[in-house]
Amino acid sequence: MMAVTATPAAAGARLTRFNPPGGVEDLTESQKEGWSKFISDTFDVEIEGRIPEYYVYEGPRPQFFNPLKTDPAPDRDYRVISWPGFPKLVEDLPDVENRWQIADSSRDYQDEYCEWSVERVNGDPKGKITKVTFTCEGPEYWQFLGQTNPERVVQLYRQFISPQVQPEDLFLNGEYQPVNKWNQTGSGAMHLIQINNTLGAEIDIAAASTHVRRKEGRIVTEQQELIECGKYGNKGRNSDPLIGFSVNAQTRDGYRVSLADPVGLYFGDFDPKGWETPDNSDPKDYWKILRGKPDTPVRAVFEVPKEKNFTVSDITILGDNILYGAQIAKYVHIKLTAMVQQKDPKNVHIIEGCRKRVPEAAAFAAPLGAPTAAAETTPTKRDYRFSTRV
Amino acid sequence: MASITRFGGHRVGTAREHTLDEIKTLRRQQLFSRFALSETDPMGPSEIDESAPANKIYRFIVGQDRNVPVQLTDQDIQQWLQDPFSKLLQKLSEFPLTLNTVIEAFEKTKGTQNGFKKLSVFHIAEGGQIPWSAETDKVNRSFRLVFAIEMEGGVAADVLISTKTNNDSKDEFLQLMSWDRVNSAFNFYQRLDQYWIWSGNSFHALESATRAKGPFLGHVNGGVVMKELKIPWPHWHSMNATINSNIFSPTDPFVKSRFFRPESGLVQQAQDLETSFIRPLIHLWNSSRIANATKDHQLQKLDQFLRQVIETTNVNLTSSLKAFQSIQNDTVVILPFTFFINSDALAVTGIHSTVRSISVIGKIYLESLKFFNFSLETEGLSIPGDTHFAFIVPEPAAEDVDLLKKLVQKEIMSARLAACLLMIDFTRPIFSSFRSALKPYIPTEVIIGDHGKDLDNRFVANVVASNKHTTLGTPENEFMTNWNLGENQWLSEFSKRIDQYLSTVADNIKTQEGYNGIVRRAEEVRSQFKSLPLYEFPLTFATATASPSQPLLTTIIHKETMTAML
Repeated sequence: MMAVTATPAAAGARLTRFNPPGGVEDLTESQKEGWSKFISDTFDVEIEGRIPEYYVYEGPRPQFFNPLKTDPAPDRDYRVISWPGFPKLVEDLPDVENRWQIADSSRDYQDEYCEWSVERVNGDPKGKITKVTFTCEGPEYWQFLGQTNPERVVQLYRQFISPQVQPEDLFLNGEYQPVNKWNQTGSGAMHLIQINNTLGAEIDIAAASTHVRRKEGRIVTEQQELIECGKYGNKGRNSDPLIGFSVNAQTRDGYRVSLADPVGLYFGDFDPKGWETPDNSDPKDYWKILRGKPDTPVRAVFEVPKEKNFTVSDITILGDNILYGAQIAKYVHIKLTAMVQQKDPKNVHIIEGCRKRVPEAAAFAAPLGAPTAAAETTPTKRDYRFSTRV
Repeated sequence: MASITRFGGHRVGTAREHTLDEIKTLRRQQLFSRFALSETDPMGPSEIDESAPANKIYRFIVGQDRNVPVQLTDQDIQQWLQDPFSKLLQKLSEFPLTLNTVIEAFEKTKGTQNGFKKLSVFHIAEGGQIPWSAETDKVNRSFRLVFAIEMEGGVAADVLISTKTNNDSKDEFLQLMSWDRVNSAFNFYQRLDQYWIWSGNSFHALESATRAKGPFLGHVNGGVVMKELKIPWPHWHSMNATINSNIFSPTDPFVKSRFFRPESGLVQQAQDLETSFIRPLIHLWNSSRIANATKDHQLQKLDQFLRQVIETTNVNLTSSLKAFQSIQNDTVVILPFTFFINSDALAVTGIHSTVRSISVIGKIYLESLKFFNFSLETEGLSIPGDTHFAFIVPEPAAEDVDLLKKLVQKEIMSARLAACLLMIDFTRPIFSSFRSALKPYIPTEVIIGDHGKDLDNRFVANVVASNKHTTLGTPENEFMTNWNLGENQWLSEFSKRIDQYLSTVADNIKTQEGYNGIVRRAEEVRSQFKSLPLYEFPLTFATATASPSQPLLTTIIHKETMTAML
C-alpha cells in the first residue's frame, strides 16, 4: 500500500457530490444526484454498523466517515491500496497452466474485482487470442443506469460489446439483468458479475475493517486474523484481506477513514516486464483504457492492431505465448483509494471480541436493494447480501 | 611496507557469515556432489592492501584470483564491466560506500541518458511477524531489504542490492548485482572496507573453477535468487502478510527511513518483486546463457544446463496459503503441490495431474504440530507452533523449471526425454541422488532442432553403453524402462503414475498417522536444505523433534506405486 498526497485545493472543500465511478459521463445532472445519494446512503448505513439483532461485537463505526457530511481536515491524505487482478482462488492448483486455464474458464473464478473476456481468431476456442477485455466496473452502477437511462445501457453495450445487442437481451420485464447473454462467461465483459465483486463489498469492507479489535487481551493486527475476527469480505482472496488490513492499520493509528471520490475500483499499473513482441514493439502500447478517466479507468483492452500482422498470442511472457487472458491478468493491478484524516489516538474505537452472528437471529435474507433514482429523505437500514460472507 | 588487513573467511563474498570451518563442513558433505574443492578455498580475498588507491574498481573472483584483489585497468573495465553500477562509479571521483550514498548516486543520474528511472524497495524478515517487546528485544528477526533499481532503456531491474537496515554503515554487508547489457550477464560486486570489488559475473557461476564460490555460493547458477518466490511469499512483506513497524523497538530510527515508511512510495510488496523483477530476470539470464552457448545450431556445455534438470542445484521455498494462526480444526489446509511432485517441471513436458489438491484437515495438522513439538526457536525466543504460513518446505527452483522450459521450447531437449528423467524417483522432486546419478551420461554438446532428437539419441546411447541399465534397481534401468514405454505411451503412463501416487497420498493424509508421515518427509527435506548455504536464518522453519524411526510415508507409497506399474 502506498500513499498519495492530496492536493491542497481538494483538501479545502467539502465534497458536495459522489461522482459516478471512473468519472464516466453517462448520467444527467439529476441522475448524478441520484447516484450520489445511493453512495451516501450506503456510507451512512455502514457507519451505523450491522443490525445488532443479528450480530454481537459489532456496532457503529465512528472511524468511518461520509465525506459529504464531514469537512476535510488539514491532515487529509490518501492511501492507494493495490493488488494484482489474478485470482488467489486458483493459486493452489498443481501447475501454472492449470491456473490459467481455470481462471479463464469462468467469471466465477475472477474474484479480485477484475474480470475479463477473451476473443480469438474466428471465435475458435483454441485459436490465437486477438483481444482481452478487462473490466472493474461495479454492477450497482449498471443497475442504476439500467433504471435511470436504459437507452444508455444499450448504447454502451453496442459500443463495447457488439452492435447486435438488443434491449431485450439486457432487460427482463424492464429490469436490467447484470448477467445476460452479452455479459457472462464465454461472451463479453461489460462489467463485474462475479458474486463477490461489488461496490457494496468494497464499501462494507472499508467500513467494517475500521473497527479496532482486541481479542484475548491483544489488539488484532494480522491480516487473516482481522478478516476472520471482523467477518467482512472474503478471506480467500488477495484483495479483501489486504483492503481490510490496510484500512485497519490507519484506524489503529487514530485516523478516521473513508473512500476517495469517485468511489470505485480502478485499474492501476500495467507493467508487462519479461514480455516480448515479434517486432520488439513495447507491449504497453497495446494496453488501452476504454472507459473512465486516466486516474480512474474502469475498462481496458489488450489488443494488437490488425496492421501489425501478429496477434496477442504471438506475444510471449517469459517465453510463453499468451494463450489465456489470465496470463495478462497477472500484470494488471486493481486499486482503490482510501482517504484518511483527523489522526487522534482518542478516535480509536476498540471492540472487545470478534463479530458473531446471534444464533437466534432471523434468517439473513434481505436482498441488496438496487440503487434507485427516486430520492429518499432518510437512509434506510438495509441488509446487503454481499454474497459469500465469512 | 604495505598495510594488510586480513579478512580470513569473515563475511566476504557470500550472503552468509560462514566461518572457514563451516565452509569445510559444507564441502565435505558435498550434498550436491557437484565439485571437488580444496578445503582451504577462501570465500573471498584473504587480505587487502589498505594502501591500495581508493575510488578504483578491484577484482577478486574466488577460485580464480588469489590473496589480494587486483585493480582493474580501463581495458578490463571496458571488456567486463558494461553495467550501470560500473558506469556510475567511473563517473564519480569519490565512490559511494554506504547503501544510502549508492542509492543517492543513482538517483542523481535521473534525467540523463540511461539514467535512473525508478527505485523499488522490498522487505523480508523471517521474524517479520514477531512484534517487538522487551521480552523479544534480543530476537534476531533477520530483517533485510532488497532494492531494485530501474534505469532508462534498461531491463526489468538493472541493479539489485540486498542489505540490512544500517544504511549509513561502511561496515555493513553490502552486495550488489548489476546487469551488463553487452556481456548479457550480471556483474556481482561487494564493498569491502573502502573498496568496491568485482566478484565475477554470472558466467563464473557456471565454470568449475569458480562455481559455488564467493557470491556464487548463493547465486549458484549465476542468476537472481528469491527463495520464497511464489504466493504467499513466506517471510516477505506482501499483500498476503505485511511486515509492520511493530517488529522494531520504538527507538529504532529505521522506522522513519524512507526505505521503510509506506508513505515514501518506495516500498512495494513481494508479489511485484516476483512478477516485475525476479521472473523476468530469471528469463533474461537463462535466455542469455543459452544464446551464449549456441554456435552453429549446436548447444555447447550441455552439462551446465542439464545438471539443473537432473540434479538439484538450487531450491525455492513454498508453503500453504493458510496463515498458521488462522487454522482451526475444520480448516482445510491445502499443501503445496511441489512438495509431492515437481508439478511445474512435469507440466513443461505435458504432464498435468488430475488431482487438484492435496489437503489436510486443520485438526490433524494442529495435532501433528503438538506431536512433533514444533516451535519457532531462536536465541531469546521459543513460540510453540508453526511459521506464519503453515508448512514451509523447499521445492524445485523456478530458475530450473524456466531453464527446462527453454530447453524444450528451443528443441534442445525433447519433452519425452525430460519426462523420462523427471519421472525417476519422482516422489522426491528435489535432492534425489538416484536421479542425479544419471549426470555422467549427459553429452557435452548437442544439435538443436528436430524436437531434441539428437540429445535423445546421444543420451540413450550413453546409458546403454554403460551396461548398467540391465541391472534392476539402478537409475539407468529405471530410465530405460521409462524410455522404452515409447513415443506413444509415455505421456499417458506417466500421467497415470502421478495421479495414482497423488491420490494415494491424498487418501493417506486423511489420517493422523498418514499426515505424520508427510511431516517426517517434510522434516527430512528441510534438514537437507539446512545444510546448504541458502539456509541462513533460524526462523526460516519451525523446529521439530521429529522421529524418523518410521519409514517415510512417501517412500512407502512410491514403492507401492512403482511395483504396481513396473
